[in-house]
Amino acid sequence: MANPILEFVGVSKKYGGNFALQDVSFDVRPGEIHAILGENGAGKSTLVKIVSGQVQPSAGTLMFKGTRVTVHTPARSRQMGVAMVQQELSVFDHLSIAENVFPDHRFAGSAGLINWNLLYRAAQGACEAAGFSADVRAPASALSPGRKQLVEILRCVHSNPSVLVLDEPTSGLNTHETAMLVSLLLSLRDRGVTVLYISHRIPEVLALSNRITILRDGRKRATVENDGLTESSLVQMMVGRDLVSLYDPTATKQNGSGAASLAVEGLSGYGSVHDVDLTLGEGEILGVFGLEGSGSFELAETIVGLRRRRSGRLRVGTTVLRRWQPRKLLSLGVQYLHNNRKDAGLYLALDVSENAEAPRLKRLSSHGLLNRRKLSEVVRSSIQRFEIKARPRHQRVVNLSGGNQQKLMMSLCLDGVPKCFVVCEPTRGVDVGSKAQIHGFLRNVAAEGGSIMMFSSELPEIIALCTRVLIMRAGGVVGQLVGNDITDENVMARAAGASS
Amino acid sequence: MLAWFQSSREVAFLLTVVGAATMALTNRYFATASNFDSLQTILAVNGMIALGMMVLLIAGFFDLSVGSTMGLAGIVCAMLLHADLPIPLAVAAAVLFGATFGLVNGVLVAIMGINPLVATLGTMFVGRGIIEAIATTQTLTGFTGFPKSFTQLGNAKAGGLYFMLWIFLAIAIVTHVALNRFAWGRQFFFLGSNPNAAHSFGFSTRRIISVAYALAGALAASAGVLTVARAETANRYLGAGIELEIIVACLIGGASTSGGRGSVAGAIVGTMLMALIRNSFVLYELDTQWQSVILGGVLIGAVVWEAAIRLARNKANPNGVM
Amino acid sequence: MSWRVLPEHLADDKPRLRSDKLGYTRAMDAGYFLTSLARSYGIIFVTLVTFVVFSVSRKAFLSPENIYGLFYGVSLDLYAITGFTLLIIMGEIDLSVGSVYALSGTTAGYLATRGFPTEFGVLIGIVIGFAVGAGNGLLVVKLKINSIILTIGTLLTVRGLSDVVAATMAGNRYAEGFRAIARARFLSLNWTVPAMFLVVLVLEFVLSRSTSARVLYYIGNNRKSALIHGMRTDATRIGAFVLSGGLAALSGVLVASRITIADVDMGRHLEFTILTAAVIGGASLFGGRGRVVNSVVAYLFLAMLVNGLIMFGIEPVFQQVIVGVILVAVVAADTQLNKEAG
Repeated sequence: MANPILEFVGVSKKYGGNFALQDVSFDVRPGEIHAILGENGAGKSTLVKIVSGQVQPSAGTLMFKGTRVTVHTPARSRQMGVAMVQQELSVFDHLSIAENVFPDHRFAGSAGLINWNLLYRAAQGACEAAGFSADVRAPASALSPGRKQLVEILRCVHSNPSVLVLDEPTSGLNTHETAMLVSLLLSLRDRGVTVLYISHRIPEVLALSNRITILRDGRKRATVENDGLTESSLVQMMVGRDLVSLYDPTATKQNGSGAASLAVEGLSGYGSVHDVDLTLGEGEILGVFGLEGSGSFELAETIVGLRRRRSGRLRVGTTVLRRWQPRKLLSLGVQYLHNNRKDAGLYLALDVSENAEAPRLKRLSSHGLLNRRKLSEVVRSSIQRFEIKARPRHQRVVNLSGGNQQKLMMSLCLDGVPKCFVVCEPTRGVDVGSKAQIHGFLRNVAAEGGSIMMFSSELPEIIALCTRVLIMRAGGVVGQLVGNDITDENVMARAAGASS
Repeated sequence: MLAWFQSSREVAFLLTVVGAATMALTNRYFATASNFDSLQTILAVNGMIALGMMVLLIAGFFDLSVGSTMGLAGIVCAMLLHADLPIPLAVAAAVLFGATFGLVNGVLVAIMGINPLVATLGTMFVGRGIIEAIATTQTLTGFTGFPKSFTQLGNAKAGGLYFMLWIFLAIAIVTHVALNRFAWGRQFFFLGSNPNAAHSFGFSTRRIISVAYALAGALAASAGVLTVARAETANRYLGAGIELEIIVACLIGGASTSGGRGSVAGAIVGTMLMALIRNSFVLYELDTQWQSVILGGVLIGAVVWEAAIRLARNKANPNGVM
Repeated sequence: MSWRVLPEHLADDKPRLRSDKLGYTRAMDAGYFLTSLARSYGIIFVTLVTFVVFSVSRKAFLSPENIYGLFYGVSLDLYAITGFTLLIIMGEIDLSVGSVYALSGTTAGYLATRGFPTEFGVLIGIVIGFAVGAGNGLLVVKLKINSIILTIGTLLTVRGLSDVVAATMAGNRYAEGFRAIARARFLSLNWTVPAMFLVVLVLEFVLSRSTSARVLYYIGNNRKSALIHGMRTDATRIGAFVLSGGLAALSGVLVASRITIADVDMGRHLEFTILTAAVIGGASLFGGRGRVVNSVVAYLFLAMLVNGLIMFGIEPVFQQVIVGVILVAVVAADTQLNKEAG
């Protein structure tokens, strides 16, 4: 058997006190399609970032073609012959499809003189070989997002790499486009190119790969040959775990009282979200789980009014809304926790006191002026209730730890008990202790009659907190699980498209 | 059909043709030799600067100091000529000076990351200040009295067209070829279209931007030298306020404020339309105050049109975030 | 199996931007404290030092007429400075302030000279300011046009209109009643000077305490967060443009009254000077910071600098150069600080 082209030996990556990857070892054979399977947070992206030079391992070594390498920069990785298709779209909208496939203009002659006919013909050929018919002279902006993704993949494929790395390539593709990609990759394999394929989509992984490495919680669970594998066995390997709950495992889950506090009817946005109906009961913690590209956060933003809607109605209690903005929902008692605190939800350059002031401006004002006394009272009680370790003044929030930032952001929403709390990724990038605290806060809200719609990509969190779970895929709600049916396998199976 | 109208360049061309026809029919001074002369010189001078600006706009940047560069380079050339430097040397030195000035802009914007508005606004004022300082040493008419062979540069004709127009056309062709037939020329488009992707793909963005600014400076300097040659004087008003006119010309010629779009043909069409508008002020004896109003109106119109199209397109697109 | 706590696709590898510990580090705090101290009080310190240096080295500088002249000039431009600062706090720029200043002032003077009551002329002038501001605001906010490019367009259009009005005045002086506005005295001082101190004090108090004013900072800091927290981001942004226009108009009327004739160079490059003053005073082009009192002190500093340098024999023309260099240097520093802060 030929020597492995790529080998991970005891690779670990630590962020602060937490392991994103722990002692991962496996090899990739030349000319194979090797899939890396795992749920969000299993370590897939960190692994890939190490190969592409964006991140350095804390321990362990990387071997490339038998020699030990350190990939300091993305440029070094490219030099080595690794081509990676990113998740963020790197398409040049104003330029033609042909130039997007070959941005380095390799068909140019001496001194860089471009031969356009040659370029167009080559691009046409590349597209057709991939089963893709398009006018390569047209600007890339004319393509659908799925087609743009394909063009990006073609770009990497045609840079003649030794190793092609694809990170969740099908998250933006429809069925037809996915089929094109699959046949493209199979033809690549025939040509001896090695493909590292990161995904959580089980049917594709089974259709494509020679071997599959399953990651779980930062560790390698197994590397298996794709020979007689079943979807359910893969799901089992991805999520089967001994759940060690760090807080009271016997804590009762809240069941809704029956009355609907929030209902969504026929909601469609301008992105992937289409025809979503759901209801949220009083005192209920409803989970909405979706993997990359499922459109779950898009749905959250659309519900709250941050994204434009094509159609749909919202019912908050007895009020029916056809048009709404975040401000309107706030007045009806709907609070929102954004999924990325680095993006929105906090004022990173300001201190805790100023952050605490922002959502409460009206309440804290007497005759239009800020009541400093009331503000310090609010700040003091927030810090105490939510156990935020920070000085209230003169310390920029950006310098707080992730857990404290998240708790602060939560405190901004929970002055009282909101009628409905739309929460996204409540414990993203948060340490163990704060995680437990945040889950406690959420439980308290539900216990006091508030209802929570929790959008999360962390399976354990969903399972521990929710009595009802909706699963999203490709912009729509594809399943619902209640009570004892809520298990890792059931949720993941529906989210990853495994027909079980 | 609607798509055709979305291309600003084609609309500008149509307006130019219609405008010229209208003026030829309604004003008997339009189709005269002397009017064509002044149209040519405006086109040559402004067009040169517009070429440099267009390249910058394609890459997603702009330069508010081209007027100052033009003026300063013109004055530098005049000073060198007065110091009896041979003409080719004086001209070359002036152009080199312009390139250096442009390079300073490039360093501020590309390497230090300063907002292009503020950086080039600052250099514009520094440049203007230096011009004013030098101008105080001269009389009101500025520098005069240049060798005959120098003024020939601005006044000579070849084949019925001004020499400077031929120079401009030559530069335009070279720029067009560079942008469309050379791989390194295409990098401006890549950079303007998606700066992040261009950077991660390995295009050396800093170098590209600095070169673009240096180029714009050199072209502005050439325009300054030619204007001095034609007018036979170099005074403090040289190039004052021209930068906005040039930016408007490029925007109506198809450039976008967010980069990635533009063409040499667009720069030419935009400049022609602006020249025609300016010409109409003279021919129809409109007060010069209205020039600013019309110029501003055209800019606002172009920007609003672009925004309206963008919004309409985004409505159908995902990511309709407020 | 342990509970995986850090979703790997969400972790970042930049510990210097985010403390990985559960608390904070005092060193980071010291940095933040010092830079915000510098931003808040630096300009006051610099201005005082400059004042002392010039006073000590040139007797003519310290003369009452000279000092008074400086304060008088700033007291007229005060309102334009305020409006501009409010906008820059929100992260927007209005480059048309100088033109609006000119158009409003010239029109007010023109109307007064044409026989209309002075108050009417002033009112129309200010209404013009509001109208231009509204136009700017609506286009920037609703059509999402870049405020820099748009206000350059407004700058040109309005300047042209102002030139038209100035030409109509044909060098005549404004009506007496109009000219008297800037000359009215209060306790033997031009009323605008004590008004300046009063206004600045009131503004400082109001802006630091008023909840409506705080909204500006939040919008400038993170517009999406402000939206999530229920602030009316669109309305506030448009409102600030309208206010900036009206305030620029007010300053324009006062200055027109002072210079008594229609001057086409009135307000030319004003936006540049105010922008420099705002940034020197601690405002950031990236929004979220700035104080009116600082912008005013910085403007005074620039006026003082120009004034003092003349006494050293440095021609006014060089001052453009100096101000330009200062602007670029300060913005470079601001950009650098912004990068480090993350």
